[in-house]
Amino acid sequence: MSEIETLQDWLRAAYAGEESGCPPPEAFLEAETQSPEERRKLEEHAGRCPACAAERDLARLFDHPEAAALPAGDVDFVVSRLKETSPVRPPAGHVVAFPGPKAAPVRPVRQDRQDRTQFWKIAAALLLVLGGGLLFQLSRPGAPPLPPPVTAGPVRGGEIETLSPAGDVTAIPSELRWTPREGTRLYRVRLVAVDDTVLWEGTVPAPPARLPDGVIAKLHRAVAYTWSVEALDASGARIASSEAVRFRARPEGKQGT
Amino acid sequence: MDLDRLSDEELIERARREATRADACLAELYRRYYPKVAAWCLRISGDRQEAADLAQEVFLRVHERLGTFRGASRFSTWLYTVTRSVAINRGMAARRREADPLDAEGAPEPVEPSPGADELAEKGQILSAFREAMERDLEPLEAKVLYLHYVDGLPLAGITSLLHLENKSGAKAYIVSGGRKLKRRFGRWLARQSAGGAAR
Repeated sequence: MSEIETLQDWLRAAYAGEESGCPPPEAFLEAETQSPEERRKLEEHAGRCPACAAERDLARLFDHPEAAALPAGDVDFVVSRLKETSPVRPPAGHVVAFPGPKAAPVRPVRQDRQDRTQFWKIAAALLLVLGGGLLFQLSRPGAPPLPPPVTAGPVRGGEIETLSPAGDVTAIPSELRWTPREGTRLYRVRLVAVDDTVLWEGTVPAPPARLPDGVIAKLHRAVAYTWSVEALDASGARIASSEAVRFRARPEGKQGT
Repeated sequence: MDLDRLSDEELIERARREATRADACLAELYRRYYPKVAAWCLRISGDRQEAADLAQEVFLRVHERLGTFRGASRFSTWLYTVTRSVAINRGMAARRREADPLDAEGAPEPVEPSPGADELAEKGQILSAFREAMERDLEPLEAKVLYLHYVDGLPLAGITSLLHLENKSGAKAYIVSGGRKLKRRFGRWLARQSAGGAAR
């Protein structure tokens, strides 16, 4: 254990443990329900206890967000992200669904057919143009080779190079991909929520790691997740790891980055 | 009846009672708190993207756990406990992945005798000495910053923003100076604990 970890343990035990004698952090939000005597004691305690002074600051910030004096654009950005939340996990044993945006209205079949015909016409025209272009390229002497297919680009920084998903993606991913590393017997892969709740953890002999259907079903558009991978040798010891990669499937209908 | 006239608790009650109006009731309830949660997350994370991810997760958790809300406190208080818990877990997870400001600090030689293992055999005594050091040896701001970073897991940028610190390196300077004081007082003992993990 490092000295910092020890220090952290002591801090937690001193202030976050039951024997600390500190009130629960939310006590600083309940002023209306407290007697003047209770409030006085609470203030007195926070006056000498740095942990409670910090918790009081945090609670007051929640109670009076205007005191945060934040740029309105920043608050609007976060609120707009909250509003675009699409289907959300229903709470266990609760019949209520999260209020997300209403489903798109069903379009008449006839209009669908018209759209499909239009689509095929455009596709055929595009094929003709592309085919012609390709023939022209091949007929030229010394034509340069075609460039490699464009990918999202690897995320560098960790010892293992992660490939996808990363950043904002168009769909909820069904697998996690990375560059294989020599000498690896198994890869341990973890998918976690923003607050580090583990959603899935598994081992695979080689990339990609396919997410189980049950896990995919729990992932939501517009919500951020993080994944990481570790390489293990034959004895099960970790020999390399990736950085934690954040990704988020864009909300339905949003194609921009 | 206009939903905006109902209290938070009445909205929850109605959502539980009338399945057909549940969506509308919860939409109204959550909408009331979007700006509050957004502002809190922004201030403690110090980053728009981080704050959006965090706030999003808060409302997911709130929705998952709403069935456990029994009305023992106000809804806003309950929401705060969920928000704070999500933020702390997030912060601690991020901290595990990042370098610590105290990593660069070597353990200085203690300038006064550190408490011996015999003297501080009892956990209560250790913690009491530690609390005393936090409250007497450190500046209030140093102690507060250490607590927010190591116990609540807040990132340095978030603490700098929350406490309106205007010095050049923000919260980091207080972590380093406060950590140095603690190490000076508890140095030898801290090293022994770290080597043996005996404090547990």
